Amino acid sequence: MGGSLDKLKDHELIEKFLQTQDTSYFNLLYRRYAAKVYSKCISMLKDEARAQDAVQDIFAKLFLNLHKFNKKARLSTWIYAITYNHCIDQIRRHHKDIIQFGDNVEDPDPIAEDVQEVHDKVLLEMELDRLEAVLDAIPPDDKVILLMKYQDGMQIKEIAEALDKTESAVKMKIKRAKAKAHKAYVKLFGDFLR
Amino acid sequence: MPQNSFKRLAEEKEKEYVPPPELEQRVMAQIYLLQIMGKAVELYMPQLVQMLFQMMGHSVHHIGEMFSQKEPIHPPSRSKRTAKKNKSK
Repeated sequence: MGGSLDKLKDHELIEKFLQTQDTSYFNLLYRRYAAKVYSKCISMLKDEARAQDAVQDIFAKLFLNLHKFNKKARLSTWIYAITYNHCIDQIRRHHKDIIQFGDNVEDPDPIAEDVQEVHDKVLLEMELDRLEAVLDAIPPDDKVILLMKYQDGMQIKEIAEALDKTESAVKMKIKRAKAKAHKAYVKLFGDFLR
Repeated sequence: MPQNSFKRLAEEKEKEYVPPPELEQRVMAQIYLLQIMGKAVELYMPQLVQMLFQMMGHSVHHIGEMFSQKEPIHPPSRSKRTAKKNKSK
């Protein structure tokens, strides 16, 4: 049975699971996505125990909302959106006073006043250890939006749906996140991104 | 085509942090539990609602009657209210 199940596409697995309630279908979904979800949780939460708890909660959420999944969308996009939102919630709970999540264009953040255009190429070709340090130095909501765009290859529309924002707000947020990454890079490594 | 740094970073992290096998057991145990709870609610909810209504002194037929009220209660229309005002003046 295992071999034939492996060939099923994600949306076919979901359909089978919803029809039969056979947990082996859900187990296969877990095996397909657990590694990615876990590594995302670690990179966001920076703690293995918290990341494991988060994975458990995320798959429970997935199980409870599987019937709402839009078959036209990619399952990976949906799972990653749940993962990022869950991690942001967790971080928020830990640092309620520091983090402000929202795209508020009128946010009095000094970067918003003078957003420098940072070319994608600069970010996409950065050395891995430097990229990791830069991503850890910017606020989690900015990190999430950059990961969604450049790591998961999500479209602006998909990011907007995942974060419940408008497309223009997402575009602005990406621009600002890139500017913050640039600022963090300069602060950490001294030289300018070119 | 070489992958971008973000994707390479994700790959490295995936190799570095593999989910422990006991996590799969934890997740699947929770899924079984949620499934059982869902089935229990599905099975016993109607009886529970019936029991609650009976405790309140209603019969099950009462529930149907409550939802099939012929005339919904609406606030008086504006014209009626203004007519009342004029009358009082």
